[in-house]
Amino acid sequence: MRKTIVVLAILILLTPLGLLAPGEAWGEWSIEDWNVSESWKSVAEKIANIWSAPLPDYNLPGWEEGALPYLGYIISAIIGVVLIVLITIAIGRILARK
Amino acid sequence: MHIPDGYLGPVTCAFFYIVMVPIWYLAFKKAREKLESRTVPVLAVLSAFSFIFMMFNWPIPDGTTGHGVGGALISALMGPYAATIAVTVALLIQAVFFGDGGITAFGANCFNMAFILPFTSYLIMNLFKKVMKDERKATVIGAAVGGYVGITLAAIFCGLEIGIQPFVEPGYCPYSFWLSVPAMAFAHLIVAGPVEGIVTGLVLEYLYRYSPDYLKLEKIGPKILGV
Repeated sequence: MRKTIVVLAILILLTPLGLLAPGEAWGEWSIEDWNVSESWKSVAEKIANIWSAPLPDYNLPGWEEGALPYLGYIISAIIGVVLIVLITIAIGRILARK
Repeated sequence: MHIPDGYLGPVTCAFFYIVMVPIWYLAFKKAREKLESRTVPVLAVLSAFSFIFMMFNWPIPDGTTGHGVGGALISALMGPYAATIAVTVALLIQAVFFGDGGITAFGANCFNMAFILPFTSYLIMNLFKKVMKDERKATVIGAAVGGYVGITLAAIFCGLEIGIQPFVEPGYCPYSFWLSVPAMAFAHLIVAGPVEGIVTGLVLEYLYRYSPDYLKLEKIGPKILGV
């Protein structure tokens, strides 16, 4: 188990490498960037604005300068991993046979 | 491959939630039968691994990015329904906390990454197990090939889902499948697919060498091809 935690920690520290790739994923643009009329966008934006994530783009709000996005990415990774482990263990405890 | 909110119309969103309900139900039902409390932490770590793996964006030659999912690895180790649960949890956290993938599109995103990918890779791995005599080679190579094909198929489904919007529910994603399917297929055939396949194969090979017990976990999934 200790070995697993070390591996996860190393992977988390390496996640900022994932920010180096230029551009963004195909089809994940902001609706503002769509090449269509404003009225078209306003319909889609009604659905898009249904939820505002607290840590959009795996970063802390406002952490745009210098190395801050990389740090925000690592912090997001830690938060995500902790939440996922807790939720999966909770689900597993309910489902698993003894 | 994370469809954001606003790309799919309400009917498409509802459709994929409805499709996912029986899949989630069967995943939980099978897990209830086969998941052992000692392997719950393994499932939790694999779900966390999937989340971290998806944070590693790789450059695609057309100027976009792509990433692996880890669904093939989880499927090979614990079975496709276990992968459905683990990837669903990762996608849920991504959507709710990080705005990666929409809340309304959550059903569709789960269908692609938590169903199509792990079930395709599992089917292909079992095909290799049927044909090849060496179980270890069949698992490593079969899961790697399965990951490559599975993630590419998932990406093509994703491209289709957003690409049919101009025809079935105009007002949402304006780009047709003539654009979206080739773009999604290209990114996954040449970058994200090889990433998924190679990482799946390498991790399995590592586990065979140093922690072979992990290859003997009970698989939570349907019997496919008698395996």
